[in-house]
Amino acid sequence: MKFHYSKENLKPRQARLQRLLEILPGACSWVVLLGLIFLSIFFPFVAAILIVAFYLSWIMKILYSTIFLILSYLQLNIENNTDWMIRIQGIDDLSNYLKENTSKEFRHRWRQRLSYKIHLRQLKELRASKILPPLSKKIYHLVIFPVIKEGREILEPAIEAISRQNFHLKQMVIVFALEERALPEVQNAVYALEKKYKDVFFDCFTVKHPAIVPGEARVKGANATCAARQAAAFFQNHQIPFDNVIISCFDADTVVSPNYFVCLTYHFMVCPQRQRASFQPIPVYHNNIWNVPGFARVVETGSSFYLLIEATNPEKLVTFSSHSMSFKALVDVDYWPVDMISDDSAIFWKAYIHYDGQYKVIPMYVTLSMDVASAHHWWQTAQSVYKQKQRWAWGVENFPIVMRAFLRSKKIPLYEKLRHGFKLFEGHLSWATSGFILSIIGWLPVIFARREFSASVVYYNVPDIANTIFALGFLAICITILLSLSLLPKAKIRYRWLLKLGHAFEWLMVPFILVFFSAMPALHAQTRLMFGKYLEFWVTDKHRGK
Amino acid sequence: MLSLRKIVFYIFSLIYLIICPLIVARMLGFIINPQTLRLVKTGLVYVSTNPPDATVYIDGRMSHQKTPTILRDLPPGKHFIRIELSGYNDWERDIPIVGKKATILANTLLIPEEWPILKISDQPYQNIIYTADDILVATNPVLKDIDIFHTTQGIEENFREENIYEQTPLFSKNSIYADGALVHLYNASPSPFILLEANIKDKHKFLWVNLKENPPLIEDISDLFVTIPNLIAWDNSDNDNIFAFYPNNIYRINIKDKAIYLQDADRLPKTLGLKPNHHPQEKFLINDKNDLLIREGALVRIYPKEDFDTTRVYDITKSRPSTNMYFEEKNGELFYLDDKTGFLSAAQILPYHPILNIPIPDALRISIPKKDSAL
Repeated sequence: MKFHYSKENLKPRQARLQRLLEILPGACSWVVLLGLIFLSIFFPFVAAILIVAFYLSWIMKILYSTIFLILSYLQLNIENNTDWMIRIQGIDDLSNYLKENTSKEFRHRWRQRLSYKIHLRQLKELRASKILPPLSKKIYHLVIFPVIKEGREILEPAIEAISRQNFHLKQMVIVFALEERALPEVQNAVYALEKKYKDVFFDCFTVKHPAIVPGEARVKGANATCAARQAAAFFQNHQIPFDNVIISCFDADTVVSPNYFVCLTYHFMVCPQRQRASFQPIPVYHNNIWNVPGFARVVETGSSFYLLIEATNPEKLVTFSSHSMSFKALVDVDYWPVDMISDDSAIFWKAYIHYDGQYKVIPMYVTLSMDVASAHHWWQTAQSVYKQKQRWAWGVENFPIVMRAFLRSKKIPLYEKLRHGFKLFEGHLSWATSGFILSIIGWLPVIFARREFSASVVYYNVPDIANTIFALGFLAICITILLSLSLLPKAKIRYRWLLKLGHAFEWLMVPFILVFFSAMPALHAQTRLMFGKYLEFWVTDKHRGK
Repeated sequence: MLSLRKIVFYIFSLIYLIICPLIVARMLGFIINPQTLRLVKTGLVYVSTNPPDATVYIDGRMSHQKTPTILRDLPPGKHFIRIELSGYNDWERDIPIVGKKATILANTLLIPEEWPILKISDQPYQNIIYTADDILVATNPVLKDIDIFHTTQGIEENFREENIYEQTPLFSKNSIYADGALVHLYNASPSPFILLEANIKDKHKFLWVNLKENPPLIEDISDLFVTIPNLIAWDNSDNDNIFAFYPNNIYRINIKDKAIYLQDADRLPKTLGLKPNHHPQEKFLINDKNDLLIREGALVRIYPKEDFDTTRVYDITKSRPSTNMYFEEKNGELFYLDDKTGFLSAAQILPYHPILNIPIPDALRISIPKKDSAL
């Protein structure tokens, strides 16, 4: 479906609908929060019932998520030692490869057995689809790094990591999407890197994005789009079909694991609908994880775990942060939105609507590491983390546009519309309200208890039920702590077990984090959208210790 | 994974749909009667005692938890509660339980089998006066027989392990004031200063005493009084200025400057305590305002407020009438002069000072429901 994926330049009726839908999430969040406060004061019985029902649903959600966090973590672990290159070469000669490998024995090596079982299933699906991929040697990777204020100390490790890939570097093109308004020292660093790595890859070049372009906002998507257009011309000049190109748009601090591109190539090749798919790795924030205050560590580990859980549900998975996708799809949908901050999720919705729902996200069990938002002082770090979360929560800007598209589309099945629409709405609603209800509002009926309520059975039972539910929640947190400890990188210090022990205790800050680094920035973002005070792109502070 | 996720999702949704109404019903006080398999309304009773850790029996069945505790799932009607604690009399009552309601027995005072009473002094006194910083002044007609006691000395975690009250004479035997006769003692509690009016060798003297110092600092300020005033008073937050009331005038006397000022009656500090300082205190609301400690004649008695059918009263000791009694909140002790001997004594009324009761929000309640709310 042809759809103008933007809030700008709409016809009056569409503009009114857009505005109404912009108000909806924030208004609902405020109604939930204020309504519960009102009920807690004036109708504590009703409030107590609603809160206990909410607590129960929350604990069910937590336990459910914990199950899939464990499974997802196991899968990440299983694929840790997979030789993706052999698998790629196998797909190049699929029939023979399948014949040779159908009855491979792994005996007691359960990880390999499981990994191989998944691999075999994927191969059979590919063969059955009869949509075979191009040969691996004809697949090219385009990597775009939007740069505005990131220095060489941030950019170079990212490029260095790509140069260490277990994939043919001469099939990779690196593009620095440089903002014209970037400081001269940033520009110089980019040009120096371009020069240094030009011969390492198939090509490495810089595309300067003009400071002012009519119809564009000062957002990352505009910069990346400008670079991608240039890259499209580059591939046309070299007569490389877009079908054979995979685009990865990375934040400047993204450090990929050595298997990233080979794993990505595999997933691209093995997926029959590879031209209508995005590929989502698991982002982890390990670059500077031991140099940031404890609360920031917990916040970002939580974000990684959220994506690990989401990875188990590809039907509802939406792209997030650094990810990859078919270049053909990107060109088909006319690149990233140039007036939206949440370009990472917006590009998925744009493609999903463009292809009438025939677009999906393929989870990849491979990590890429980024920086935790940080500054020189913990308070500045707290501000940075808050602003970053607010920017993530600004993804709510997609809701009105997606809803307008769903209302217009006749080809996307109603069930899919309802499912995605509900998830988008419920996700943002619970993001902005859960933390407040769990940490603060849940206690209000007993705190505001008047004579009538404080002499009731409910008054004495609510804290008891809440305590039992929180004890179960603590169990989930313990599992999360264990997984977090095993996922964290090794610190280069003598007594690193002490550091890890400290990190385990940092999880006690969860109630505080839920309010100040989850619910509050989300509510802030929704309220801004509700009042039409649109967020401007804010570049997260990244700081690495020596 | 996707199908597994769907299966688990439906299982969890089903569990939620089943347990959510059950838990909400339980929260509202409904339980399923195993015999009739029908929902029945229940009430609960919240019991906390002073001292805590008592065993509770309801209708003869022992509760698993010691006090403070909540006994749930009680069918409406009368229930017999017995609370037992070694060294204390059993507490027994019939209490009413109402469906969906909580009956609250907060800070139930357990009466000891024998009241712990401590003889603090070996000499009799005429009266006791509370000043400040937990200092009690035990008075006698002769100045050398006036003693000072620190009431909270030696207290740890609400309990006084032994009698370590320090008895300090206000005047040493060698003091030039030692043989003087006390005429009047003025104080403005909680000011740490007292003013003694005394006859010393046929001279009328006014002695300004700072009890914060050790030994107390005594200053003769008799020169600042032209004649003997009818009354002396001062604001307990301003210990530099005292006010002497004469039939026609009020003088403000600045102790530091040794200056006397004629004071306009309209401009007296509002907080000036002009009550007679020897007024004996007869009643105290104690135990988080649950119980009434009262002296009737010489008898010191306690009236527990927490009573559902009959009025009960417990005699503690006998105190000399028309003398002051002082209840120390910090350690739950009552200081008084023994009726027979006149010795300064302390009775441990509250063995435990309640800090926060469970459930936690109890302390934040706007109103504490009592007998009427339960009914």
